[in-house]
Amino acid sequence: MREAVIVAGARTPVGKAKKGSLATVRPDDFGALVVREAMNRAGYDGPIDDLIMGCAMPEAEQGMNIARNIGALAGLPDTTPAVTINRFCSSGLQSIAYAAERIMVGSAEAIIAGGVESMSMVPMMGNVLRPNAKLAETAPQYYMSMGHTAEQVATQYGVSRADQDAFAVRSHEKAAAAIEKGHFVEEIVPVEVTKRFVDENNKYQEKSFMFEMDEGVRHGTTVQTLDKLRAAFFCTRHRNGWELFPNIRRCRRTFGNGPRKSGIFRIETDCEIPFLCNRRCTAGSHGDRPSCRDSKGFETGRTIHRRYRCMGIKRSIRFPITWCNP
Amino acid sequence: MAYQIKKAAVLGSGVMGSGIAAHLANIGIPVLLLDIVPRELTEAEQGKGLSLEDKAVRNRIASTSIQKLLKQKPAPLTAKKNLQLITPGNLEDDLEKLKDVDWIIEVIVENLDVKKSLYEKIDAVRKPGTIITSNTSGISINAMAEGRSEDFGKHFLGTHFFNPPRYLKLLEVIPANTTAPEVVEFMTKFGEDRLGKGVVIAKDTPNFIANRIGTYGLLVTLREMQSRGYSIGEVDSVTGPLIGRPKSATFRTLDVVGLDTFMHVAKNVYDQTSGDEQKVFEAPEFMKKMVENGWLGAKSGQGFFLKKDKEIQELDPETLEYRPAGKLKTPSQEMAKQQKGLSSKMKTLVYAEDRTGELLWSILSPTLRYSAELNGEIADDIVAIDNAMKWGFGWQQGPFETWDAIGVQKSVEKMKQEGHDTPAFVQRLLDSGNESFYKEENGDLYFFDGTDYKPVPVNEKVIDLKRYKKKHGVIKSNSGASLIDLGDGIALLEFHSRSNAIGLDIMQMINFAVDEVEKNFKGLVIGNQGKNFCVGANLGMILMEAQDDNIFELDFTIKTFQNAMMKIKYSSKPVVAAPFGMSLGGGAEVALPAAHIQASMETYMGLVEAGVGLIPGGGGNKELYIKHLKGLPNGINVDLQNIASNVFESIAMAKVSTSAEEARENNFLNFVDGISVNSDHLIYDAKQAALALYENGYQAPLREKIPVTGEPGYATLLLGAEGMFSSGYISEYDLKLAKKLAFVLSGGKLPYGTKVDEQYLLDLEREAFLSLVAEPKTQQRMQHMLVKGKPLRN
Repeated sequence: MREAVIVAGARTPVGKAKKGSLATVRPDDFGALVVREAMNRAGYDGPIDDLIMGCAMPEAEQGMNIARNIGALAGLPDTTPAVTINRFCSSGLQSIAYAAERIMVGSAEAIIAGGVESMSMVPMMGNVLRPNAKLAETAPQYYMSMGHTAEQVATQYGVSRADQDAFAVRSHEKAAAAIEKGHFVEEIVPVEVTKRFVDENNKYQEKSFMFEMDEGVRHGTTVQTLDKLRAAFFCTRHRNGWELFPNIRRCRRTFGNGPRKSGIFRIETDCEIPFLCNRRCTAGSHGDRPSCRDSKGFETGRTIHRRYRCMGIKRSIRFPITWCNP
Repeated sequence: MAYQIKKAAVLGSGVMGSGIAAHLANIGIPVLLLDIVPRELTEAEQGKGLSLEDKAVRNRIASTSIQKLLKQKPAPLTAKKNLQLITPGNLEDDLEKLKDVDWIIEVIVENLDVKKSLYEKIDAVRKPGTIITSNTSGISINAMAEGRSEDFGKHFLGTHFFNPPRYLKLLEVIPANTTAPEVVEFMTKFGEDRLGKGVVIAKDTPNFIANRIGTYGLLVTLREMQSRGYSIGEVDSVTGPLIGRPKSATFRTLDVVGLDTFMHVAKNVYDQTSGDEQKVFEAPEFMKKMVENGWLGAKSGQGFFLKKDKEIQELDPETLEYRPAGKLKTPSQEMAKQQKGLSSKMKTLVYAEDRTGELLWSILSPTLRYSAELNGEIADDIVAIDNAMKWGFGWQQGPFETWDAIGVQKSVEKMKQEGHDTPAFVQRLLDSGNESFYKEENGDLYFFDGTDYKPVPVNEKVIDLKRYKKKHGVIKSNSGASLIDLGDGIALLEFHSRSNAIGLDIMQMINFAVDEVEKNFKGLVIGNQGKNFCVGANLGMILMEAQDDNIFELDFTIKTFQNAMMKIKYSSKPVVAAPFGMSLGGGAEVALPAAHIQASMETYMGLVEAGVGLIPGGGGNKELYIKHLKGLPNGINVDLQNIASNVFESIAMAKVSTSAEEARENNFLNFVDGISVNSDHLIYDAKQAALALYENGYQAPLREKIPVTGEPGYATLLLGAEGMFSSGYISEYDLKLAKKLAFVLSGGKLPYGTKVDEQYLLDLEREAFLSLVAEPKTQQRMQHMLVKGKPLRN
């Protein structure tokens, strides 16, 4: 077996879905931007044997094998193969694993792998849901939304609201500190965003700006502020009286304590993170790059899916770099 | 000069000002809402670095009032979107804009000098012909108009709304000496037709009509309560629905109105009268103390009543402490309940020789005499006074109607015995040899005007069904409904069962009505003038059949109901449904298939069967779905799932609209269906709609197949329900119900987009209904609703 190494990596900043900075930027466009940048950082312009992109909702703007379109938009020759894969939140991670395995097994030398998602353009569950009636009747859990699976995890492992809020505060603090200290500057590739709109005088306008740093981190959030948020996914069972509209009080998971980056219902994100994986022997001296802290090479791991209800307890690929917790 | 009101301005954005502006917006009239310019910045404004010159600051008072409208309960707006029609401004910068409006309504502080100075400014700006009115409740209209230009004087009058302006029917119109008759006529018609109000012309006297008599009555009640030793709770228990008055009776009403408002209104009369009358209008000491303590009623959390730990407590006027509220229960109340109709009940109660009778007589006797004394002074005739009290205070009978109910001669005798003089007006009635203030001749109503009987004026748009039936009879009738000839080729099917609930009798009449109309009429209106249009199918009957396991009978009943609805839908003559008030379950199912819906502005429509563990069984699921589809463009591939999901949510959540406009937003009504602002005009408007449809060559609709979402649609709806269950929003039984509903709405396990005949969907509905009705939990829910009047979530 050969060794696979990660040579370079890049990512867009994470934007908030719907109203954030990347809401109007097509995922294939910002995907191409990052692929190009990853190649530049790797200092490599040679042939790419595969372009593997993970995407959780590969339809509409993310449809038609978005990996292939990203390749085209990034200026890769049309002979570059590309494949889009889907394992929901761990799609990106999975694509890197597949890339490494292909290299280790010898069927490729240089692969670009990563993940792309625009939840602004393609919402969770997709634009048109056509579930299977048999599954829906006998095992609806296969279609259970993330929020609900999180509630199941919390119940099964006894993670209280207070625990979650405390964790969330620490997470936001660490993220805010990291941003302030500029820890993410090197991995991020800024995206030029042009907002197009019609103003009050009915004139077409364009406003451009550089989107440079992650959105959505709540600087200065405290347990007190999180405590005020209504829980979004689980309530104590039907209270007295007929409440015709969902009363979302007294529940545990909220928007504030959901996973930082990978969308929790409405704190949804757009981002793109490709890595360039290479065989160890063809890699140059890349060991000192912060995004390639892996001097030990890539270790494969097992992917298991926990019982469908408990998404989030996956023992995923052991991977030295973790920047997203699915 | 033909007047029209295309734009209006309301000056003063308090509770009444903003409420009036909201009501104008409800009927589509753009309103400018102006208030004074603030003299100081708020902390928030300072924080934002704003100054007293910024527009946002200068308009702050009106802007804030407008935003408050969205949170008020009961809602002053019939639809949230109506808010856009109200524009905030202020009385300095925007005075010029008054040039562009057709009606200016002044609703500022009740101070004559302040009002007069405002009018002076308006006089300088307004264009000739603009109508300007005041909502004052107590200041003299003539005094306010003093010193104004001639055109102003011609177009100035009082328009006194009642709180809340959207819901209370009374509009008192008070002409000044200078007001042109055409203007009074126009405002009266506008008030009735466009604002939906009951207009009463009042004379320029303190507190006009309703507040004059109403306040007198309240103060007399207070006086008698104290002198005869009744408690507050006891008084309220006998001065409410027992005597045909609203549930809030006496003291709860006062708490809602606010003691400060009440004292102000009372003081108004006190300051402008003298002698014995004036004495009545002096508020008792304990009330003054209450105001000092800030116990103003609902707005301050306590007043005559206080809610403490879920218990309602009443004030003890002697000690000013609260104690658990009491009630008065005496034999005369039981006897009254046996009587039919308010008149007989009143007769029984008022002469009863127990605590109830004593109190009621002691309150009514002076109130009736006072009304008679003021007749002619505060209003032109007794009809105006009776209407004012009915429409402004929610009394079922006005003072003179009450007097007739308890017998004029008998009561006058009793009054004389107690040492009271008979009012001159009443004496004239008795001297003329007549017995009652009102009398009916040949089905028409007449009133005594002091010398003779005059016909009670009838507006052609107001059809009083009770009177109409007496005069014209019915074509056919059974226990549930009657078919009436409304003239001009239109017939009316009137429900009159209990709560107008639909049983086999009504279904029979529906079949008969459609057959009859197809043969002999141009169109059919389904409407009535009960408390509510129809609260659904006869739940009691269904429960009994279910408990007896009478599946065959139940199946027959549902089939009959469905067939009756289909008959309405495919009638070759137009059927117009005229819903109002509660139009729930079966009530909505009757309206949906009609060729046209003419709804009252206050229509509370929804398919609420889920609340009793059922799903609509009369075609409601299908018809609501179809109504959504009708709005779609032809030949375009639209995702049916969004529609099915919307309908599913509406039925599963038992969504009920809080206005006809909201019913339209919920897709029970479409753009072609009509809304009547004046509920008295509803049947007339429905009749006109039926006639118009006929004249336009109405044909029965073609029977078309309906595309359904099929198996994937069923799965999608099911997942939606599972999600709600996982979240704990619905119970396990709710989920079972939702599954059945999902199956019905998606058309079962067919491929997506399959087109099916209506009968297939009706059969699915019936199957689901029958299976649910056999379930113990559904039966429990039905029972709970019947017994307790509230839904059960088991």
